[in-house]
Amino acid sequence: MSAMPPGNSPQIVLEALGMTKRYGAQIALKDATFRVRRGAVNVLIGENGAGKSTLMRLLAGAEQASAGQIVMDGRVLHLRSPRDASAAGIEIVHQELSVLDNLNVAENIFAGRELLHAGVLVDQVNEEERSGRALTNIGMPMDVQAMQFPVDKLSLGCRQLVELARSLAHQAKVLILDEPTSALSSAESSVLFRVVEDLKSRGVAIVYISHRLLELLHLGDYFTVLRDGRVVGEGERGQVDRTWIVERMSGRSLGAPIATRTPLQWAEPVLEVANLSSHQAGRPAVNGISFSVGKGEVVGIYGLLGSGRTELMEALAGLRKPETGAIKVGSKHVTLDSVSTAIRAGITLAPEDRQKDSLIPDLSIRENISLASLTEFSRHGFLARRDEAASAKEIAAQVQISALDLELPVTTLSGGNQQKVVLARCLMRRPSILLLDEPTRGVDVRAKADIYAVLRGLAENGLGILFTSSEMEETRLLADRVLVMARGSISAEFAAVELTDEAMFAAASPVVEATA
Amino acid sequence: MRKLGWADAIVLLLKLRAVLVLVALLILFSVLTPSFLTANNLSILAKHVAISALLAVGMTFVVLAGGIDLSVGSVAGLSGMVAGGLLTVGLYGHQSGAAVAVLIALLVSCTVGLLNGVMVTRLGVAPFIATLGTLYIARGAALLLSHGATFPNLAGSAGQNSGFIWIGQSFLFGIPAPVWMMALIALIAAIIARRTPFGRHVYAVGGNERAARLSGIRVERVRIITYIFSSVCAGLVGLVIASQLESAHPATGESFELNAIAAVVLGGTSLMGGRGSIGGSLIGAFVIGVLADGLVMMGVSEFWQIVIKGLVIVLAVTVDQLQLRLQTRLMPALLISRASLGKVKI
Repeated sequence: MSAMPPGNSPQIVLEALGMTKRYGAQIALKDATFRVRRGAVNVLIGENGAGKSTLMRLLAGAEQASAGQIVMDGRVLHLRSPRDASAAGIEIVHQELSVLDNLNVAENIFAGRELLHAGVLVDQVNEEERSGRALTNIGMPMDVQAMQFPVDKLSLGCRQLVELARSLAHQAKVLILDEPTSALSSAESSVLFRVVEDLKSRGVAIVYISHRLLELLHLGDYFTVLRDGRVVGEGERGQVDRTWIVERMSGRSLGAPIATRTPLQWAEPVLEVANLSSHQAGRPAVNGISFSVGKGEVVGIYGLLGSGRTELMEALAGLRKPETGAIKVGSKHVTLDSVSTAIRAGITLAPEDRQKDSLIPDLSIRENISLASLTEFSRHGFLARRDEAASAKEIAAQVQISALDLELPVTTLSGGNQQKVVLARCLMRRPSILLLDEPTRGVDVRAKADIYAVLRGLAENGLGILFTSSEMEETRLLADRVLVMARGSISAEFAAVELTDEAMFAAASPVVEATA
Repeated sequence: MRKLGWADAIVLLLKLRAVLVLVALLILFSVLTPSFLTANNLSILAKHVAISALLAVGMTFVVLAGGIDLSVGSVAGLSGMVAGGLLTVGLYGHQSGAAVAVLIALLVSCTVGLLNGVMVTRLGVAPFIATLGTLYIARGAALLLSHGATFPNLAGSAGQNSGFIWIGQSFLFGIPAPVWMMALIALIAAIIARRTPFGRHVYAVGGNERAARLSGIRVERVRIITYIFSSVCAGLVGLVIASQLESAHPATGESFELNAIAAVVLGGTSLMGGRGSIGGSLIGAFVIGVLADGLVMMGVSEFWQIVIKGLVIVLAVTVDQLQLRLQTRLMPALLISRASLGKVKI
């Protein structure tokens, strides 16, 4: 944890000092200090849930810190809303595109800050002119016709650039780019990189967040690494290389890999997938994949965003109908056309986003755990609540949920314990194969270790586990075998013993990046 | 064992506020108007409340599952007209018996509910719009049945098709039948909501539809059933009113849907779905009923009554929001006081 020597480097324009952010019992950011320099690309790195996005939301005024101070040009800022941040010259381009799909380019660029005629009517001509200039400035001149379409008619990359133009049209001093390339093609990405270099030369301070290490090393001037809500490393271009980043990102070891286990029982497959393909918007998202998971085996799927890992999980969970392919659970062929058929076949999924896809906030911990198993407790149409409570208690203990009382709302739990609730719900159905999409997203280190231990224990008892993760360390620690996905196919397969971060990363990276 | 903490006390008071308001209103009106607490007035009051409570109970499931049902008033009107038509004009020149009339009227109501449910789930029409549509359709159908006229004389002739008026006018142990009906249906509904898998599914669907679907819950089916239940409750209301008046008017039930929604909201059910209770809606209906009745007894002008009703609804929802915020703020204190009570182990 080295502090940057101040002074000898370009001027610091923005300082976030001692930022702490709590969500209920959960601490997303802990005393983090982040400095942003003028005319430079300030890279912020960390795994999912490390606190990057939280820190950015604080800087952008979308949320307020529980403690800490934001200082810009020597002045303390009180950012109570995105409007305040914008007025101070801080603009953010969100990871999830926040363009207004139903409005056209100019309307988007001036949304909330419309140019007016005599203070009443929107000055469309002026807005369009200035939008045109902003777009030309970032190397994306657009003809007048195209500017009239609602932006959802534009490609994802174009929309990203429109958002960028929106920020620039307001003379940003600090421009935050949150995972700007995650949805872009490589051609679109290189346009973006050019724009970033150009802005840098014009003195804009750029905060750049990405998971793509090569991209970061290529663009970044200053690096700050976050882990579990704390700053764990700072460095400059030249001092920083891939090893430096990976070491700090993944941090201390969470326990020995389970590769030492005897692979004897895995011989018997619990899940066999043959030639599975699934299309997304006409494009193959999963492209003829075949693999199997053995009894008691933990198989990890590593892949970057857009590699098809999520779509694969969705197909196996009965959420999307595959175009081709055969799926066997145990010795039985199954057709997975809905979630309930998948669950009945013995496949349960713990989705990636527990707030959106798993938890019912108004229900108690017990009710959340038993949600998928209610028919099991149904006696003549009534819920046998004592059985339900006993069963929930047992499973809660098994996955080590630390709660004062299972009758409390599920929202009183920390992220780690909420994830254990999701796990408990899946396990209550006694699946033969458990699917986990990012099993520890937004979970602190201790809960992570707990979850790993629980999953290992389950595998020892014969449960087949298939998980996806964008964290290399997690994949390495948890899996007996790793399948790497890129562009909808399996690009490499490793046994846990032969696995290195470097090899995994290389196999996951799209071709363009690997040669960069 | 220690005493309840202050945080528990505050939250308990807030939770019981609807009951407290109801008790306060009852005391207030009893003191201000001597004739309020007479058997005769209470009987009238109970009959009024029974009608809005029945609608509110049905509406509660729909709202809990994240929907809304604007068609209930019209369905009540249609149901009464169907029964009235069958009893007086009849099918193919044969007047129906009371039981058949009731059954068919409820079947028609059920169909409207099914239509609402199918539109909302399978066709993806927003609940507000779908049920707004059936509000007009059902009302129009009610008017078409008699070309706008009233079906009078539903008492029927003895030995042939009498008995219909029993629904609204008979008494059991001195309590009007509609009140029994309300109590029974509210009890069944409360048990369904709290004690059956279906009830839990309704809360889950309203709380987080995606999560419910991913848990294998058949979201569409749950939604459709809530709309059917709501419509059947509305159908019953239509029958009760027609039976009480011994005649069926096509305009019966106009704007009842708003009363029902008001009762549901007063009872603490969130219009976003996932949070609320049958008991709450019942109390909500009582508050509205008592308020209306008491204000009439006090001789408050009709126009002021409307204003006061609106104020009460707005106030109730504001307090609801306050409670939610306070509860989140008090959660740490609550946890500690629960732990000290020995209810939970740390």
